[in-house]
Amino acid sequence: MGSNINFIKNTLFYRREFNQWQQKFDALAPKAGDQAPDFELQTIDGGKHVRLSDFRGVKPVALIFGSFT
Amino acid sequence: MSLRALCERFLEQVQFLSIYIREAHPVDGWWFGEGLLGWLVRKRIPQAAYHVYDPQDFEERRALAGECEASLKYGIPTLVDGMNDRVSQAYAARPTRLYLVGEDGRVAYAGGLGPWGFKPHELEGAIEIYFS
Repeated sequence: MGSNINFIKNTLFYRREFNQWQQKFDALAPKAGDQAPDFELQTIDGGKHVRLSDFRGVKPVALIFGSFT
Repeated sequence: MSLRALCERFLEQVQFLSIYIREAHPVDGWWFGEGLLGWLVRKRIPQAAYHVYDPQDFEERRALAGECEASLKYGIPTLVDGMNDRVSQAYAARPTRLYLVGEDGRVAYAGGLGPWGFKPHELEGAIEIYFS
């Protein structure tokens, strides 16, 4: 029972934080037709840096954002 | 359509990039690992990890991204957002989100806010329209 209550309390707290974060940053996020913000990130082996603009004129890019959890 | 099937279908025409961002549900955060309700969530989304603590530095995040890639097996490159979460902020991508960026560098499809707005079938439709 205690773990269920903890889950509910955590959910209420973090859900609000998530919603606030999303509202703040979604207002600035690119919409269809906007120029996509360029970025340069490392691959998981650290061996390579990939820039979004590397693909301009080459291929469209599908971005899948997420985490393991 | 699953993400894996989507990647397989369009692998030649589209560059798929997985962008690994801040953990959505680490043990030391909004954890789904406890209680009956947590159990129900884990049953619904078995492919996620429920034993992970929030990475404290980039190397930890990169290692976790590697575990995630090995587990999900999408067959696409994984890039890791910096600990300043700059890219996930620029795309309002927490906890998960989909975009399609055209060859001209413009957004062709901006998926809804995750998790409920995360719809691979919409991305599929957007890709079909892009190439039509």
